[in-house]
Amino acid sequence: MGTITFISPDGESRSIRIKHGTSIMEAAIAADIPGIEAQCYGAGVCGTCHVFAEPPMRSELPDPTEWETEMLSGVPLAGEGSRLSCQIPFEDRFDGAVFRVPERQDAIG
Amino acid sequence: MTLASASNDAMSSDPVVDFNVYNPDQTGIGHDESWLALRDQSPGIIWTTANGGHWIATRGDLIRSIYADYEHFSSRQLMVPKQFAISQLIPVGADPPDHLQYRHLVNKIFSPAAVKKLGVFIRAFTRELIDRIEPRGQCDFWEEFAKELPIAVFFKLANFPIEDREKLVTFMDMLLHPESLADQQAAFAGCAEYLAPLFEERRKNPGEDLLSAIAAGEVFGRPVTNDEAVNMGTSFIIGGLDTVLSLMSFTMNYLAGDVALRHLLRDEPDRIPDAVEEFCRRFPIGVSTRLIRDDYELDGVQLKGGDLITLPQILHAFDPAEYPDPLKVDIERATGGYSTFGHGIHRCPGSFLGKYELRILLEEWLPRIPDFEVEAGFEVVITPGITSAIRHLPLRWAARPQGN
Repeated sequence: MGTITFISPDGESRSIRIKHGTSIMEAAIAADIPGIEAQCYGAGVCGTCHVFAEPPMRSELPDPTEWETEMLSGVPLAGEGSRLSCQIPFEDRFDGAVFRVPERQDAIG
Repeated sequence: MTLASASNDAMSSDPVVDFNVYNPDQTGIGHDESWLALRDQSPGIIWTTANGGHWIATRGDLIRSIYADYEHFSSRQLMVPKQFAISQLIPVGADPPDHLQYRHLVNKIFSPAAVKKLGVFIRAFTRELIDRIEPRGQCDFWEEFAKELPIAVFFKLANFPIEDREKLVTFMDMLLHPESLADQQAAFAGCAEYLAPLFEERRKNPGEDLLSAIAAGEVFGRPVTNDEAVNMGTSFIIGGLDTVLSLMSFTMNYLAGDVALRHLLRDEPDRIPDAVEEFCRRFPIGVSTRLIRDDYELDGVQLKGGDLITLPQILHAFDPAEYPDPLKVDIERATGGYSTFGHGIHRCPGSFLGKYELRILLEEWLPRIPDFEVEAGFEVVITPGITSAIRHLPLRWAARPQGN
């Protein structure tokens, strides 16, 4: 169990509790975090759960797989720290991680 | 189920069993116990001679990684034995890069935002069903609830005429639980005959539903063909009709015997989402199949290209390395990562929907019928198969007059 924080495009931040093994996306959807659509709900095929992982935890997260990297190359507004939040299962050592929500999400394809 | 000495070169030192993944309890020791006994024989990858011969992954980490690994494991073949024709289905049986083209057509229909919009309908219909049965003090949960709610929701989502329910349920049964190859082929033909005019109609009068999204879809820069549309429609009939029913039947059977959890969830409904996650972990319903693309060594076992491997979701749920005391329902536990909806690109598009339906069921049922039990003397039977279920679940509670 730990806490993660989402920062919306207008700067508002919200912290939520998350269990080990739950993906960042699932926690965001359960908490109705605005701006995370997750149209495919975890298959990693739509690109609409895009977030920016903020330092310092950014470098602690597991590296994106080849698939995630390829999907991220197609999402709008991708940049430094871009991740698909459905591809990151929470581990207790990620406690305190901060994710910025992009201004928009567009489905790939 | 017995250990036999290996007779096939490809299996050399690996254990061999005769274990039917679609009917695991051959000796009457129990459903869960049969799976545990299999796992204890080989916590890894084991060969069974049943269903034409195939591999079985028996450890959680292996099951998860094979689900996600489309490069070594193809979805072209979705059940055992090989001659059964659940193959070439889209999108569930398609591999990348084609898979993505088709999957995009339907993601939006099942998205959390779309499902939440359906919530009003789901809740209203749930209340109506409870209104119907509550004063009686009894119901057959499978017949009068599980078969009603998820099917009505799926029909609404796809905009199928509800009067076609029995027909589609029959097709689904023949596709997923075929007695013979001929049965299965007849069901495919039946689905095609049923779906073709519906797609034609949706092309003329498109709506917001699943069939319209498929009918109006573009893949590879061209419109979806009739064959593709029919194929996709069939996939969703297979995937959408009995999965949520099963999940609900296992959950209510469990809750009938756990008064403390029933009362906790009634008194603290904000714990229901945690409970839903734990029910999804503890009561997975499916055994998936993958086709091994090329010779590949995994977990010390040499897998042969062209062979099939099955992924029993229940053996992930029962892996104590991930879920200590795994048979216990514990809503406090970290449930994440279970295999009930698969992993990776084929992860069930309806997972949010299924969980949402179960959540609404518990939110509506428990305040009104907090105490219920399985009819005294009735022996609950798990019907095994490619998807398992409790198909007869007589529940009893103290009836109270309507309006009180």
